[in-house]
Amino acid sequence: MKIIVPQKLMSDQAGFSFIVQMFRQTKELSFDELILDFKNNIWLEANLCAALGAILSRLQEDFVSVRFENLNYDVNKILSKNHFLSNFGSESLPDTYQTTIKFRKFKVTEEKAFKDYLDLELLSQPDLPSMSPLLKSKINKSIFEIFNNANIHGHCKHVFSCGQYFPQKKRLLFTIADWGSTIKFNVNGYLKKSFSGAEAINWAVEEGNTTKTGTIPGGLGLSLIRDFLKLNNGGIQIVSANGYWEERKGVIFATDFENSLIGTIVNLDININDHSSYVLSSEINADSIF
Amino acid sequence: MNQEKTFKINIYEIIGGDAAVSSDDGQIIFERIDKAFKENYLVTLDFKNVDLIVSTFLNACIGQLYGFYKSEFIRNHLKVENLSDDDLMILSKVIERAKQYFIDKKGFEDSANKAIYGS
Repeated sequence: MKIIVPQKLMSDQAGFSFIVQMFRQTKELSFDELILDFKNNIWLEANLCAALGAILSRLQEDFVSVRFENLNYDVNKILSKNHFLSNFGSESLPDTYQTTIKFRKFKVTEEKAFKDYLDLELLSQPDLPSMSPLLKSKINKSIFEIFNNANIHGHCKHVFSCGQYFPQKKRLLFTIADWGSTIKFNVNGYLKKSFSGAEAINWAVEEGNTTKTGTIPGGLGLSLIRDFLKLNNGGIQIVSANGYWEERKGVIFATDFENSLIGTIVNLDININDHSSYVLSSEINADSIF
Repeated sequence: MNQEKTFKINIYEIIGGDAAVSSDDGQIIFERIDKAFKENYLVTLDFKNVDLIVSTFLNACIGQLYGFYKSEFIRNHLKVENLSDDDLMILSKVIERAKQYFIDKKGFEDSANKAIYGS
């Protein structure tokens, strides 16, 4: 099978729609070959390698060989620097300007290895604009909340991550993908409803809403991220089943795709030129917190 | 006069590092607190040298307590030390959320029982 990659593959509705469509087109492949043809492609936001990698990794498990054709020089270079292509037989390249955050596949139980990866790839890069310790901490926590969600709610084995800095825009895009249970499946199972993909995500992102039923409470992680990104002037996109949901500057947009994805993709768009102090509305006293 | 029994739990030592990020690690701390509470100990959680704490960990370690103990008991028997302002803000949300979660959970289970058993 051959799939033609669009001219620009970006972290927007069209980009995620292509990824979901690619999932649907390839999901039945087994003992076969998949060619990703980049003849038209001139721009690819490399953080999306997390989502592409999640699909391709599953295909490799089903004995599907993956081949990349007609990669242009720049795209080839960035996908080599972030070690994406080396997962599929190509050489990796050193990242001189350190704008990439490497594509990695983690077991969901590898929290400590994931922490080391974030420390190394995300928070210690000398060529980045300086970020306040609090901003770094907020970024780290947000990414970890997503990582943990994949484990707790996705019930999956692996998490795929990749990021990209855009120095001129002073933005960091970081994507995490898994192929576990979808938000739609979990929410509809819990509420006994038949929400569409977008409606299910809309429910799941509200503070206090959780499909957890055990003795450990939940329903906070995504709302903490949303609070941070609103102050940071950033954005978040979530794709799960056929749902697409995004929030930018506090404005929500949600829609349903024609096709459906088994799994969840979360993309964080973080403004790294952020000097907010995240002042608390009222100081919290540790002695009276309980 | 009863002398208050106290115990300090060093989070860094128990989780073996500076990242309090996993639900499993939170569960280990929860079990330590639970044991100490049963002996009526006053427990202090010391987060010194822990530089990354996420809600998943706090939910398992502290939020879960609200399913087993009354707020007043927890208030009188648990303290935290060396948390940053940002982590205190997250902890306060975890606590607020945990209290609501167990109220909702009871309501959810009551209505499920009503649906199944009609009482």
